[in-house]
Amino acid sequence: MNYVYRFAFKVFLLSIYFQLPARSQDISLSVITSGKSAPSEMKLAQLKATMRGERLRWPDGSKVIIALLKTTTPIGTNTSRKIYNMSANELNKYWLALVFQGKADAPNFFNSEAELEEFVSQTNGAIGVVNHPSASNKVILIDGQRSL
Amino acid sequence: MHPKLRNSFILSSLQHIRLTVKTKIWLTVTTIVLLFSFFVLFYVPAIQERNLLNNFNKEVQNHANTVALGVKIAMTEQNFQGVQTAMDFVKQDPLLRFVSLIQTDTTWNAQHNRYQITKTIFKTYPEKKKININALSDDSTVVKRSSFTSAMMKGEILLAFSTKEIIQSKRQIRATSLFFSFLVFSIGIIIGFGLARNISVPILKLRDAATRVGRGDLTQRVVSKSQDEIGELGIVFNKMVTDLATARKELENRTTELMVEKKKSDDLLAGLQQTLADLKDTQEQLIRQEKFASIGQLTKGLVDRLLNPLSYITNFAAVSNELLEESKEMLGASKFATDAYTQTEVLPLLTVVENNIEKIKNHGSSLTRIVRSMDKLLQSKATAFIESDINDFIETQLSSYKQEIEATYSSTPLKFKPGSNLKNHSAKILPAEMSFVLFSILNNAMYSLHEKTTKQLAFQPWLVVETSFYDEHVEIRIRDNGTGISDTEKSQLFSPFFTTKPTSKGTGLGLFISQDIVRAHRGSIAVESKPETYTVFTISLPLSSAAIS
Repeated sequence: MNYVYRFAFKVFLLSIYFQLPARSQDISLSVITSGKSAPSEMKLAQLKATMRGERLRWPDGSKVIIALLKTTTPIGTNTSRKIYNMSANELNKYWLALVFQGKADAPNFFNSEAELEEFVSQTNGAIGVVNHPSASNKVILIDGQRSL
Repeated sequence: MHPKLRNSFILSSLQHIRLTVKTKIWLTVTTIVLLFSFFVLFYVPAIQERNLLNNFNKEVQNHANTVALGVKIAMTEQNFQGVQTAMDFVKQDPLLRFVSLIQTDTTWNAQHNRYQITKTIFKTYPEKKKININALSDDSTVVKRSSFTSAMMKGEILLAFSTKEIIQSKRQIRATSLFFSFLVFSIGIIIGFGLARNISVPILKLRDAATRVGRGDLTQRVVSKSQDEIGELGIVFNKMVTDLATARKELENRTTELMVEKKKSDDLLAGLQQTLADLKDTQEQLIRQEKFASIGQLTKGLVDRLLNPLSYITNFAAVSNELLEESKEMLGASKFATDAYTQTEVLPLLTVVENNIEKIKNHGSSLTRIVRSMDKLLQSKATAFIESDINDFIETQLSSYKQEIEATYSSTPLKFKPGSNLKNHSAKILPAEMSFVLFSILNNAMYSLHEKTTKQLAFQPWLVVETSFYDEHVEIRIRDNGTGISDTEKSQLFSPFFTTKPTSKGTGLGLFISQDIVRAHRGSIAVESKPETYTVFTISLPLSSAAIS
């Protein structure tokens, strides 16, 4: 019986561990896009501006559609920190403010990379941030780098 | 005035007001139409406006709820599509005033024993719009709130919409209501007018027709084209009048029959009465004739007995006077002229005796005349009536009279004015008897005129005989302007032996016999007179068609 209690306690600890935001975990991020609307290279400042919704259209005139992972995911948390320099709450409020006032279109938040990848690959003008980009989408070099 | 008395007075006044059927229909229809018009004009718009406002409020509240839900979903699930869609939808509405996201924070004090809830405006659309967190709905703006709660954020959505469209809609509703109420009112009035006409006109026609029928005009009929009860009433009325006319005609026919029967009965009765009158007359005549016959027999004997002695009296009186005259002549001779006794005693005595004997003779003559008149009265009269033209007869008789008239009367003008006899009427008369009547009346008139002439030297006498023909009788009028007859004398005029003349001039039997003769002709004789002015004798004789045979 004690064995059972100890095993359960460990499982509990493990679950808590995996629920904790990976603040200290630094995940590499890659910016992906589909089609030819988005440039193949961008500066970080440009990326931030685009991802913040300050840029609404690509040079060819197509709409910038932002795809992000939810801040409940590690990638989402990293994205929020690295690109937006905001916490999850702050990011939500940020986007709420923009969308509320109509200054930017609502970004698309996904639960998994696969969903995000699929969305980006199927949406012209979409730009997303993932950890492991697939071959179906193009990776945008940010300051010459494939990942942040 | 006491309120109760005033109310009862008003009620009694109202009860005495006469309202025609048309007026009642008008009032009823107008009342209904007015009520409906007011309903359409006021109540319906009020309800519609209230519903409109309620719906608008609900719509605004729904929008606020939708936005709040979107915000909540965005905050909890990081799905901003909802809030974007909701906001896009709300922004499309031109009535949007503002949308504001109010953040509610709970602030604790340092000791953490007291807290304060603060509301701050998170974001507002339009961005530069200044809003009041505690804004409420008013006439021009509807403000709705919808709260949301999430782990990250708590607050409410404040949504304000303009009621401009509502106000415009209200105006439109009122205008529409006014139009439709007017339309309804007009249609109602037209319908009321038509209804009043359709109902009241036939009823008034029926009333007028009934009034005229009541006055006796059974030719009245009402023309009824409608198929309803009023039309049926008209048909029934016409039938009633027809039946009344038929009944009246039958009644009239029956009345005519009864009248004819009555006329026959009356004629029969008149015939019987006439027969009875004739029988009575005949009876009277027979009685009179019997009386006269019996009196006549007695009187005839008396007359015969009296005439002889009277003749002796008259004659011997005349002879005696002649002898006396001779005696006076002899005593007046020269042989007795110196005898004073003879001249003073004997001759005057002889003169007195002569005068007395003259009186005896005169009275004897008068009595003889009277007795002879009675004899004439008792003579059997002629019975052969001869149909004669009255105008011709009178003209002939007047000619004879003028030739036989006394010299003293010959200066009096005697005129004849024959009446118009276009139809050539004639009368059956006994010529001799009628001649006697005419002469008697003319003699009386002449005497009266002579008497008046002797009294008034300037008097201008006239005597006129005139005839007038009527349908069934002829009138012979003898008019004079003599001394006239008083009422007392008139009452006895036709009585036997009544006379106003001296004994030597009249017997008093002339008018009595004349009346008898006229009655024998089935006629009448009447007198009209004014003393000292005029006298009119009117003899009325039946014309030949009504005369006795």
